[in-house]
Amino acid sequence: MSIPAWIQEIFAAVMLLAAEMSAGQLVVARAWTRRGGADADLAVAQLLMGIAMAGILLPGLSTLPNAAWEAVFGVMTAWFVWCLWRESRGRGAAAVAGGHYAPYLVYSAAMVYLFAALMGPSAEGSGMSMPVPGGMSGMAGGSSGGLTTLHTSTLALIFALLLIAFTVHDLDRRAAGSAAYTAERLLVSPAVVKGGRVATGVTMAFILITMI
Amino acid sequence: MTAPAIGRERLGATAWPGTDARRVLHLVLAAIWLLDGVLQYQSFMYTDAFGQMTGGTAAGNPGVIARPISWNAALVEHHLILLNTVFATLQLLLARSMLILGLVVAAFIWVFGEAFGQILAGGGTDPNSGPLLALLALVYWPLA
Repeated sequence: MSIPAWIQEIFAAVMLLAAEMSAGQLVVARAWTRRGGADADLAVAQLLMGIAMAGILLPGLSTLPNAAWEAVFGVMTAWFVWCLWRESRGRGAAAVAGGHYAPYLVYSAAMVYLFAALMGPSAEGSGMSMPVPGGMSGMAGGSSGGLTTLHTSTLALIFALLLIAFTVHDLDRRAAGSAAYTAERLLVSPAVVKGGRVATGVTMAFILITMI
Repeated sequence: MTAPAIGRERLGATAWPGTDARRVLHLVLAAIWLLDGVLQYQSFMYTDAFGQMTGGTAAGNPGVIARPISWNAALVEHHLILLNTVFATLQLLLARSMLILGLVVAAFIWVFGEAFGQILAGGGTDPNSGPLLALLALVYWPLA
């Protein structure tokens, strides 16, 4: 017996919900047309990570081959590196480490590692994962919840620890901003965005640890 | 309809309450519980071996300690998926600074999972992690 499939289904459902909320935030806030459009990249990242992780947890929900996701998150990682570098010129490296982009850089890099590791020799050679159409080798193999193992698992542990650190840091932050009175404001409220980020961090750490 | 002005109210803006050594250590405790919770979801924990490992710690201990450990191990083996999932989720929730619950869970781990660090069985070299987790929670207890 391994991890029950329904646990992975719950995590996948949470990730899809987080992705939906991010899509909703993009639509409601029209972030790309506003002066605060810099936040659009965070919402897009959250959206893509939610979809990708749901596909890892439940191969039936996979949308792209691993290589395509790896490329997507590679670009995203490069973007957040550039954002951090740009921000550090104005605020200094120490302030940037506690800013908005640092966690997303770690999330994106973890996703790159995850998809690269899923295609690596250990994942392919383990024979534990079920072959899935579209080239996606996810966690759940049918109803038994068979696991794929990751190669270079030390990196998985390092990423998991970083994700946990950022998640706890997020949990410790007070949600700032005005109270939400409408559904639209609720969707873009700091508490909801924070909730999505915490769920993403926990789910990513779950995936990494359980695939070591 | 006008879109919310997120330029001023940054999407997901949150304020960090500040840094001091006590607070940072408190966050470390939260991170430990979060890691504990994620580790509890590993596939090994959903095998019979987990219940057997837990029950195995009863060996060599006095009856008054061994019996509840064996009872707990049997319970875990019979309701493995439910109990392990509840326990893992509980530990995840402990990351949200629930100090009292943290103390209870630390005590539970020490008694039923670690058999008091096997001290009474004669094989213990240290009290194991249960008392340390409880001590950490007590250290961060609000003073006022």
